[in-house]
Amino acid sequence: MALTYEPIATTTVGTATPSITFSSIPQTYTDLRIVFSGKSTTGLSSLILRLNNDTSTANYYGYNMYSQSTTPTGSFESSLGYINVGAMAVSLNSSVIDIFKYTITTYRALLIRGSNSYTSLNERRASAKWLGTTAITTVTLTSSSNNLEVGSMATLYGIKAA
Amino acid sequence: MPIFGITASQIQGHLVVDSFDSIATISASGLATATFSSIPQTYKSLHIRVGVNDSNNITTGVRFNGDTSASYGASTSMYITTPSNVLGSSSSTTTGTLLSLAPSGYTSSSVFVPSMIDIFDYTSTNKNKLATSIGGLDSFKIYSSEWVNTAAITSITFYIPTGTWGTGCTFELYGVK
Repeated sequence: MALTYEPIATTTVGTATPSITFSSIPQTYTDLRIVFSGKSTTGLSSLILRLNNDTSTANYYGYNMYSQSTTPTGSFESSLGYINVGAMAVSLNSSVIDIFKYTITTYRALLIRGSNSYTSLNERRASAKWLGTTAITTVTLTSSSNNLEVGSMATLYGIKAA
Repeated sequence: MPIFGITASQIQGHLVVDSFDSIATISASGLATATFSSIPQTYKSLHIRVGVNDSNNITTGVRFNGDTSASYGASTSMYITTPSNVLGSSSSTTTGTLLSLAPSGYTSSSVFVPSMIDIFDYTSTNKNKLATSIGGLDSFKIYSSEWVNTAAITSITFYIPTGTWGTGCTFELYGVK
């Protein structure tokens, strides 16, 4: 029986580096899921996501809900040229990113659930969209302002519907 | 050098790969109601992935076992309507619907608004059932609700009160062992 939830690739950072990239992604699944666990080498950074190496500021949008104090806060992000997955520092960031219907060539929708512990534990939930017009074949996770620490890890899963 | 530490997000994401089965998919194009019936009672929980749009830009509702009565109990939600505001709502009773998913927001047949639903211990016959959902596109919504009924869940119905879902809309049901 074919697996419904299948690991496509895992990358563990062996030498501090800015990015983890999954390329040549098979077009045989319904959705993709990325599970990230890692941190930055120094200072505050953000974990950012790009699809198909697209840096266009017109193509990424995000609606975010996060708890960083006693009052939940929301934000809308655009014109960044990437999707902001969440804050990342020398403490842990763990995030799960679901990319729906990644093989279509219109708006691609993403749902993000993450935790990070910069100054205190911060939960983040978000939706995002990418307006690129090509099927997703490459996904890149990058530390916005410094390197990913050795041991940071990301796994790309394929989810296949019946 | 490994990084030590684990969070709930990791636990949720790193499912054991052979413990997650695709049970059924409904292509909902042109439908106003979609039902998963005769759901196998062999899993621990259920996971549903939704991608919808509709010509009237309205919200998809969810019911268990065809129940349209007032037996849906407490519900609570958090959502963003304007970018900087997170709003919440709660209710002690909800009539006729369990979950109210994120509004489609799109009438285009080429845009699919995603939601993920988790339903826990759905085979139990001695306690009420709880479901949670997250979703949105150009919006974001978290919703949890209780079904005040101890029956095992054997069917799940999605519906919109007006119009039909667009071309390519899908409901995917997965079982988690």
